[in-house]
Amino acid sequence: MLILAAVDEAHAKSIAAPQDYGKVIIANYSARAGLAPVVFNHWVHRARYTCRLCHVDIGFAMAKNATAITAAANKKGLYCGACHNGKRTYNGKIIFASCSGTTARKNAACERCHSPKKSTVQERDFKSFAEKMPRNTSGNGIDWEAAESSGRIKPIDVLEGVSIQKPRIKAQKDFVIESKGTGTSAVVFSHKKHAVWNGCEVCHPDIFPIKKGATKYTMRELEKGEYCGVCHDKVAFPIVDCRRCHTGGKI
Amino acid sequence: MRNTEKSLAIALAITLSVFFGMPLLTDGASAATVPATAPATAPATAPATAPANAPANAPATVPATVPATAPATVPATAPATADTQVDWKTEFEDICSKTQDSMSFTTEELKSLVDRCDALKPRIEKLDETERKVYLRRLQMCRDLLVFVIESKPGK
Repeated sequence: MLILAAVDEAHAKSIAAPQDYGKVIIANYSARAGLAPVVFNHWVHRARYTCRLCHVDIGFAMAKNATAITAAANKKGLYCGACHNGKRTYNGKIIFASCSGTTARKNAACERCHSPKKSTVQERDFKSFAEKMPRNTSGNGIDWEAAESSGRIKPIDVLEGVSIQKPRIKAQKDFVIESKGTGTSAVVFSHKKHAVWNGCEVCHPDIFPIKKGATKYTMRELEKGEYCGVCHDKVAFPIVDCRRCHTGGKI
Repeated sequence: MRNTEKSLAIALAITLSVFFGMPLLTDGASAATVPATAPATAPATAPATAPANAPANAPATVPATVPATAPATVPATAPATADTQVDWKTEFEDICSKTQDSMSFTTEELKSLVDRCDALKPRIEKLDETERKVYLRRLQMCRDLLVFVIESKPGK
């Protein structure tokens, strides 16, 4: 019963338009500067870079508005400015500079991120991108794991001048999380799948400060945004997609 | 005959110069710069320490430079120079590059890395505001992971 209630709430929360799933509105200082909040689209970025690169190497917090990004920091090449500096390239194209203030059409430049209204360009871009990707039924409709494993996206994990050169991660073994007393199939947790995107520090110890089996967590906690719910239901596939984790078939 | 002796003397001097680093003593100035011990120690030590695949002229260059500078300067200045040259970012990168391998380290090695994080923190706190914020967070994530791995070790 508890599980169903949690899932219902989560389901209601996750009925966003596919292009809006994972969208974050950043509004720490924008209003003070006379600008609209920043509309950050996760899908645009996760198609190109790993979660780890942004949330570890560049230092973006996992919670919305917790980073308190400033234009000054961006101009110094930190946060958004680590890539959006008008010099760095992606696929041979220069990535536009954030908060540069040097463009003739300043407002138009600001509005690429500080979007005052719904962007039809973003919607069109998403549709065009999603058409080429493996499909899924939930979240933004893209099976990101299949997209990565099939080579349709190749997320960059190292940013020159920002990232530390590290050896390739040695993923720990997969393990089973028993669903005690719920009648549902156990969860088979794949360290390998998660490590591809996240490395170690994204999850440990901030999100999972626990030894295996030492703490019990529930769907209710996940729905509240704890544990798996830090990413799933926000950016990664939603928790209503039960069978992706409870792989044994009993739900 | 005298010319032959002179030629032999010149040839000997060139040979000694090329193979053992002995200077050609053509004037007083150059003779004065050469340490008295150089010729005696050079042949004995240089070939023994040079790598097997060293180029043919390696022994000739080693004695000419090493004895004159190494003993006087290296012990006195090297540690201080090394300390100042290892800037905070190099230290940060060295410590935090090890997180991906952290499960393979011993508890002592991990504790040593945590200690290095703690020693580095005050240096990062001196940076300007934005850089400080970014790198303190990154250092904290790195330290927290290392502590997590220590605590996850069997028997803990």
